[in-house]
Amino acid sequence: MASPKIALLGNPNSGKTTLYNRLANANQKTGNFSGVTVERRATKTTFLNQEIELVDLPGTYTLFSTALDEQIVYSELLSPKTRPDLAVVVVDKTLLRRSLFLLTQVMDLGIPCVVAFSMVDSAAKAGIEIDIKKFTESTGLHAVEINSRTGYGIEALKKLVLKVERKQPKEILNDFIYESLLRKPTEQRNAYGAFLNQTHCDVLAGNAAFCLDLHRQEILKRYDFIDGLLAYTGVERVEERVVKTPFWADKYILHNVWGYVILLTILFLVFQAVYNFASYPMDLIDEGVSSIATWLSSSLPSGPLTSLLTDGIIAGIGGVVIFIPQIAFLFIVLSIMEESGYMARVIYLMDSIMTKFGMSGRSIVPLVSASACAIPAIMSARSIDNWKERLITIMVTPFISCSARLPVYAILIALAVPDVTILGVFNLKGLVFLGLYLLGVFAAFASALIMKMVFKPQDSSFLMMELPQYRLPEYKKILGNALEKCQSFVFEAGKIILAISILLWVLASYGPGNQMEVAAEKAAIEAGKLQLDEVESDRLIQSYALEASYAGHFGKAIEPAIKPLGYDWKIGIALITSFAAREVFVGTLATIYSVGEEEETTLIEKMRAQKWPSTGLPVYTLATAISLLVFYAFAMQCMSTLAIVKKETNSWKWPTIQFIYMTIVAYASSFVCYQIFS
Amino acid sequence: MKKPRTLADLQIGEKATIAELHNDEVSLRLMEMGCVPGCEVELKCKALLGGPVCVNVSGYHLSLRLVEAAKILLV
Repeated sequence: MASPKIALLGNPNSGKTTLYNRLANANQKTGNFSGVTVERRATKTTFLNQEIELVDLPGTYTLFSTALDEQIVYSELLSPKTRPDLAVVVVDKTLLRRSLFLLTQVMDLGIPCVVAFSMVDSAAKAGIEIDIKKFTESTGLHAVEINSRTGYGIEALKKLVLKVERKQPKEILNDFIYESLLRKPTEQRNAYGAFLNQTHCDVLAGNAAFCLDLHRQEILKRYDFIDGLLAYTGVERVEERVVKTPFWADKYILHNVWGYVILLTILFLVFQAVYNFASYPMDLIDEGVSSIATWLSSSLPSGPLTSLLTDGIIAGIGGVVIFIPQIAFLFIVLSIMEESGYMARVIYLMDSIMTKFGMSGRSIVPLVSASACAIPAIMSARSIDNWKERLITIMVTPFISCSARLPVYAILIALAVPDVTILGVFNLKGLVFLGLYLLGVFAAFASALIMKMVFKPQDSSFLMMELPQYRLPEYKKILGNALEKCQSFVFEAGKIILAISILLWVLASYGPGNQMEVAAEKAAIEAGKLQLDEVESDRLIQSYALEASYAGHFGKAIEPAIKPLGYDWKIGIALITSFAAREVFVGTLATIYSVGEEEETTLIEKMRAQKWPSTGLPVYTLATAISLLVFYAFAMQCMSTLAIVKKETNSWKWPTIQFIYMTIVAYASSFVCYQIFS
Repeated sequence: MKKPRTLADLQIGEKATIAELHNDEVSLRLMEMGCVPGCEVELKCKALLGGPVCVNVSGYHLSLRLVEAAKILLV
């Protein structure tokens, strides 16, 4: 016998996910089924030695779905294949009217259910009592009171789930809906299910007015039933009392001045934390990966396979793993903000500003996160329920200067910007840094404005968001969330990053015919002539070989295109290889100019010495450096980001458009800068 | 004819009772979230630049945009 499928249902913030974690306690095999926006979680677990399949559905107020997360709930409950054997409906005892609304809908779908009353402590404080005997008598449903944090009532709930007779619950509005429907469903039992289905059909068929009216009547009748039920079970209309004592902090947190001061302070701290703390594990990973690669290349026989393993695959995996600390840190901080209830306040504060740019208040989260790394940032855009607003957010997020741009900025600023002090305090180099960040922010918002005109998103957008009570976040939930996000990044985006890394390795390691061998020999002879030591001659050979490789040929092929920006073919190679990740730019230049990566000053000296062969003028002028800085500020030089955009939008269309758009912006701006400054 | 007063017209701290809602999907959604005729609402705060407002309704804090609030007609 297949294990019974138990689905958890409830309003957002009803304590449903906490209950799920409590019921699925042993961290059993958890499967993630990523939808377009929100994920549904499922696990196999045992209740009192009986195996069951437990599903956590996204929190929803109604089965009448308008947003993507609600569609998951609706289609899971309606489809015969995924229909659960039993639903545990979590009812927030402090918000009985609103929570019972969803329950009556589930009952009308004919899904056997039991009720778990949550938030019993707060309800007791507010003096809300419900007579459970009378509740069962009136609805035919068994109910328990639970507290997922302390474990109170959990065993009773498990027993109830196993023991309860799985029969169709009492119908609330099915008869009414059946009578009202224009087209009668074949089976009266599923009148409500048919209505939910048919409504969507009817809206498409242009019979929206009828459905709207029926839907309205349905809502009012459900509340009539609930009011009757509440009166019978001895619940007075005391719900208002719970929030009659407003949380004192909201006075400041939602304040029109203090709210923004607090927000900016928190964002600044978050950014600093993510940026600083993550750098330690990232350095460790970086060192670890390169020492593994060195160890492998020294202990394995040299040859193309070893090279593929060390320079291609290990480097590729390293490129994936290196982002994990930032993703983990960022999601831990974001989960804390989310779980505590603060995030809803941030969205409230930012909504009016963001909607002017075609985004939602919820877009502030990805945009801030992007200053660390665009990858987790784009993943966090899932919380935006309006598709167009979410798309615009995803499209402009990579414009924000991420930490991978820093090494590029650093070397170019060191190269081109003089070390002068302005107004006695400000270092010019520091100002250029700041300017580049502001440039990114400006580009993101300007692009959002353009996309707003193209997509016109506000039509179906709405905010309507509960500002939940503040709660102490649970560390288990937060760590679990961060772990989930990291896993999903490693497995989904990781595959693509790995593939492109291998491709880049092939391009840099092979050349047409035997050109690379010829070049290497030539370099070896030259090294002999110059009497270079082993390390230096190796570098010279590498640089000649790179020139003869496919990557070198590509660099030369694109030289005519990048010459107007002030770049020669060597920079061209760096542009191509740094498509893998921006920071690769510095490493590639170091390889091309055959210097060790650590020797930054020598690299800068070598760069200064570069001359155009035709004119003998230096390659790296102020104009070239500015042009390169602007290029890296705007260009989509990050395959990981493209991979994650593909995953999040479920199509190659958007990453392609994004890549072309950002490249055009980068090219045009660099061109203008170069022409002005040269 | 005088324009009916809506939730968007309330001042901070002002209480009122919901009389009726517009007849569209957004309004139905508001009803599903507990903004039903007969319910008492209290405007708690307003964000800058015509941003969202937050109200006490059905026992919780709901934040909604002004266009959404304007769909809720008051007694």
